[in-house]
Amino acid sequence: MDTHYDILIIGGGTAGLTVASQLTDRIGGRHIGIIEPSAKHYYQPLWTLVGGGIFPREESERDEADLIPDEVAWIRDAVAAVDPATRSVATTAGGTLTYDFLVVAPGVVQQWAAIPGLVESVGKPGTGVTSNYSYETVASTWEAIRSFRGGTAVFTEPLTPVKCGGAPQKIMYLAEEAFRDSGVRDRSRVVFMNAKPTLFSAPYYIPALERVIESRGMEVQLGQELVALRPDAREAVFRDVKTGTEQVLRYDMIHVTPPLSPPDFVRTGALANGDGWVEVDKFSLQHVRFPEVFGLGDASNLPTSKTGAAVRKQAPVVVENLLALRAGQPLAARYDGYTSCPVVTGRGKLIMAEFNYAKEPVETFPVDQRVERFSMYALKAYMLPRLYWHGMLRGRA
Amino acid sequence: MTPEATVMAATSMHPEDTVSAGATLQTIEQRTRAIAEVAEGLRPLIASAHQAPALVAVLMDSFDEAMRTARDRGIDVERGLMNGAEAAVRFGAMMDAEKVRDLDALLESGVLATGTLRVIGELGRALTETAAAPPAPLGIVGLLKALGQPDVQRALGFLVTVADRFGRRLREQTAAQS
Repeated sequence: MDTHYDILIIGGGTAGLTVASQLTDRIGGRHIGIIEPSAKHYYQPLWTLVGGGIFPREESERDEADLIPDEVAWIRDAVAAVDPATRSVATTAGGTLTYDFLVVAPGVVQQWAAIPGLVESVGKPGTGVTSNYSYETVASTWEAIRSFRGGTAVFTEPLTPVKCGGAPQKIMYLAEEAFRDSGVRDRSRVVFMNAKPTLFSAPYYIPALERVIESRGMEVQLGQELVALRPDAREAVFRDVKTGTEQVLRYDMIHVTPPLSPPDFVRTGALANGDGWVEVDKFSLQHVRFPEVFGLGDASNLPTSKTGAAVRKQAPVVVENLLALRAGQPLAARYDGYTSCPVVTGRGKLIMAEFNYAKEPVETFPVDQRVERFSMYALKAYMLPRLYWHGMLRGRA
Repeated sequence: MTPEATVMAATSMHPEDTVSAGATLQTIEQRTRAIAEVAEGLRPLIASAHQAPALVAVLMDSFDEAMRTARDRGIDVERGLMNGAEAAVRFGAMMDAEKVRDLDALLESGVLATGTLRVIGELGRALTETAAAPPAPLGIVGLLKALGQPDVQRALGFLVTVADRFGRRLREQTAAQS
């Protein structure tokens, strides 16, 4: 196997594959390599609907081998360290790869262990502790919702950035609707415990979401971070982010969005900023210290919501600027922070949030997207997955 | 030398070149006119293209309003569409030409007539209620007692009449086949 690549891509997720496909279309794939340890690829935006009992989790899974573009080399290994000074990457299997240009898109990892009591309870039958944030645990969410017989259902969001800013609350909306359908809503308390200071990152959409919450009798507590679970007592400990005061909530089911962070080789390596994220220029997506390195996707420090829709707009910028640099030309492509968060508010209802770095709405459709719509739900549930598998990952959309 | 020949000599042109250049000019003129006509024809389309977003907005708002109205009436359109599509596909996969003919016969029998559907609905309701609270086993004495109830008598009258007509049709069908 080659150990040197013109272009080496770290990560075979949404960002890595999209960039690889677009590069292959432009220059062929013979000198491109992708480092990705996983044999499976997941369309994670579907996991909200899997947790809501609408799709089986298997619908979100494909073989990675079927998605790697022709001619591109798949190095099935994980990255241990990147040394930008020598333009080399050490792998966990002991290999060393070198590159002329590097694209860093390893995604983020769940920090389950950061919350005491979570590892031993999440996804385990009978605990009531669930999470949509992994393939292994996502099916347990619907089991917990389906078997809920009333009491307190808690939904959490951590202080760290998460994949799709709306996802921690989407599952609450689906659960609340399911509780109505099963006749237990009257004897249930539905609470959203969000460590962040606002309900949603783009203020334009907050009033619409607040109306949904108020009209359906859900509760929201902001600035409350989950710091521990006591599975035996079914208690969750929350700390007020501002005052440090702790409160204990007893739960009958709890959906946990774990803290997320870049993998260790990024957090502790030379590519990271002070907070551990890949430090790229937010417009050109070029690394601020190592010009031959580009970064995109969830592990980057880009101040926007981490979504597949954002990657769809970031990938062409990385490709354009990387090829310009390779040709000795100025970097002209710019990313404006576009991201999209389809906030499912129930089965057949969705608020389609789209915004940029300035958190201003950048909406695709000529209608008020703050309104709950069936058409937007149908787009998310039935159109976007097809667009993803057959368009985006193939470099066509 | 004629004045024209003098000009041609000065510009190194041959008499055939002028014919060819004239023809080219004429072709360009014709094509320009054709393009202008096409552009003119496209003008209404271009004008309406500016209205496309508004048209899309009207369609989307109307569609979503219809879906909201259905939901308010207790109809879950999303489930209905998905389950309906799956049921239709399964039903379609079970059919063959002979079954389609049998289905035709069923549909032409009047089974979908309003009155018939209502009766079938009542029968379905009775079955559901009975299944929800299954009755105790009935012996001869219980049966004789039940025969004295007006509702049982009404149902029996209905069923006996159905049996009479059903038997006549079976006899006619057997005769037609032999």
